[in-house]
Amino acid sequence: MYVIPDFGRRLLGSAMVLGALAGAPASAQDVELTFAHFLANKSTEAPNVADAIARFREKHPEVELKEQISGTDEYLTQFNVGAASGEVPDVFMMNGSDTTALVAAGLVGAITPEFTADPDWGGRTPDGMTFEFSRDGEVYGVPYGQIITHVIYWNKDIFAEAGYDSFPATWEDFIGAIETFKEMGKTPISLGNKGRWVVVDPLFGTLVARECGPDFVPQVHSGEANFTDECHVAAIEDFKQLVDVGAFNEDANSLDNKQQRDAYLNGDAAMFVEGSWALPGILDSGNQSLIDATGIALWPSIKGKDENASLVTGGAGWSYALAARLEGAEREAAIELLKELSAVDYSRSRMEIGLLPAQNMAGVADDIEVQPLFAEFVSNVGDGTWQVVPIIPTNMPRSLLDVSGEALQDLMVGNKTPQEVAEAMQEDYDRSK
Amino acid sequence: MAPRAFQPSTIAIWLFLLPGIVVYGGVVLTPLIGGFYYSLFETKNFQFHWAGLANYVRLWGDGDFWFTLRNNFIIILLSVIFQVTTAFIIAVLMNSRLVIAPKFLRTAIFFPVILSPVVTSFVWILVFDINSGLLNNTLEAIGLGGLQQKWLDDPKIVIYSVTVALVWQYIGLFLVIFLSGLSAINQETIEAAEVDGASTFQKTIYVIFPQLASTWSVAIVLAISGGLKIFEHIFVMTGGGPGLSSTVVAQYAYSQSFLRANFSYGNTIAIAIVVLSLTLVSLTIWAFNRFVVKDRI
Repeated sequence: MYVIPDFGRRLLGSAMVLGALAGAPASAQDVELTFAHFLANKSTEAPNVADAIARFREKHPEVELKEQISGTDEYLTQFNVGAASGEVPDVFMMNGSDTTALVAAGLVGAITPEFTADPDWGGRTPDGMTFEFSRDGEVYGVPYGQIITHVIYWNKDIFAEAGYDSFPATWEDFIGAIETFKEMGKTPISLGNKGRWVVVDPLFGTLVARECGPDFVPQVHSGEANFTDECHVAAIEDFKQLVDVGAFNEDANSLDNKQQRDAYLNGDAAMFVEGSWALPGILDSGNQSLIDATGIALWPSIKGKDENASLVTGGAGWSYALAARLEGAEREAAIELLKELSAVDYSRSRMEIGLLPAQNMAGVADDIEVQPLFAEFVSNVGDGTWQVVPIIPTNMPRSLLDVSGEALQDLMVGNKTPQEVAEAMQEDYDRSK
Repeated sequence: MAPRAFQPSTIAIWLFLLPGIVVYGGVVLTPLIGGFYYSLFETKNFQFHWAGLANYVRLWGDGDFWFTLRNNFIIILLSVIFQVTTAFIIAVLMNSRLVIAPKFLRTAIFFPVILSPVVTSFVWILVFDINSGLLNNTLEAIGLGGLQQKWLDDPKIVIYSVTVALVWQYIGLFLVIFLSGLSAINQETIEAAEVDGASTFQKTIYVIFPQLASTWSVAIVLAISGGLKIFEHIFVMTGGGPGLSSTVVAQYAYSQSFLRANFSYGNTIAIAIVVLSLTLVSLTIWAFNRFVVKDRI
């Protein structure tokens, strides 16, 4: 048993995109609802989303639910173009970085009354889980699940070979371990950063929390902190130190995150750093000795800032949301769909495949048998061993992810200094906020 | 002058032209005008606010834009040197009696042109792989291990690496263009040169080359316009990285529009590509007409 902690226009859209995204009511009795998402096909999340949709269809035969499924990148492109044209699907997936823009444009509808009134819905969802999707006291999105965006998956056998019986407790020891792995001919940290987000979020975000403390994101929102602040630049320097000591494979920026996992699963790397979503990939690898040898950890304490040593970035990143234009029966049907996509059954099936749910599952998931590694996850998050602080990109304007991803790649190859990276991020934030 | 009896009426001419005009207007002119219109706005929170020429002022001072444009120019220059020139040399050789099985060679060289850029990019990713790639392994096998490089990860060489893939894929296209140009050359001039005792090299330089000037200008215009709109190969092979190292203007426009949700600035970059492309193509045609060919293109 565990408790999830309470942490804190028109012309642009072509006719084809509009046609694909827009929905319309069918008749007086029946309700037609479109639901656009990317959690299908090869996605780890696909089974539980499909199950939730099947349950919704069974309970609501009067609703004709039309799914519009695409890959993540295609979804983002279609959604952006649609939103810029003033059109969003009836029910859609909203990234935290778009909440402010969609609320300002009047495209996403608040679900606060229904969400807070239902003890099995809002009552089961800790406030911290809706942080990315709430503005001015209104809730606009239901978290699709909980993610911890920084986890170091480490191979205990390789660490033991290097003389480490446990994960290094200090940054200096950690750097020492990296140097030992290099001497052994192992890749210390397998990295696949072609998509750029791997460095921005799983690697860099938690370094910022460690240097700047747990309130950096709210402080940036309120104007009390900037990306050019000393602590943020220090976090960039910490990352640069990892680059300089050769912590990563040389082809880090031309591989993707799947390839970084593969290098770890093949035993070529001592560690890889990704989010909690990478766990099912390890558990399903079929390599039991590697599963048994895998431990989970966070960056060690940096520069004696022990008070920040348990901080890790997390949240939901994505939510299920509904269009502001929906009214009457359509809105009711959309609310029911959102409930199904965040119900106890949905969250249980997330846990069964090794993913964290966004809901407090106390008393309703005790019977689920989970693998030890996932149990450790649940326990670390539940008992406060890991203190979750907001993810940076999903709480900032959309452009920051790409801008910081590009700048950090430039830093890795020596084209930018830490100060220049910080300035690029601040410049983008000032332009986009 | 053709007899009037064979000249169609004005209405008939316009009726035949109408489908083309409608399609061209719909898929080229409308997006172009729309793109320019939206480049005069600022995008914020999925909404558009009038900004006049502010995006163009920003573009003028945007170092990242000029850097990505520099990458396009590198690709264009290398394409003209290695793609167009190599295609010309191969075409001349294939037209001579020096090459056996010219039809097979023509098909083999043209084959990459019909492949999807995504497919060829994946092939080149395998070639350039640091550890198990064909290129680094071959270099090691022949004792040139010291020349091994991080082909797609070194910011100093990545743009040249991706250009190799581009040159390789489209050499066949230029080959076909030059072969068709060669087939139209007056054979009597070549025979006359042969009678006069001209060598293959002399025939190529003094007889064939001048008669292919128009073909050359078409090839160079295609290389310039192709080099400015290049996108897929780099998107697949490097994502434009590391950092901005291999990003080209079309990808910069894409990332502004779709990754940074700044549609107005993305449109501004797209309009700049159109203007640059038209300018460069016009200059090329003017230069050829002025200095090389007597028959106007």
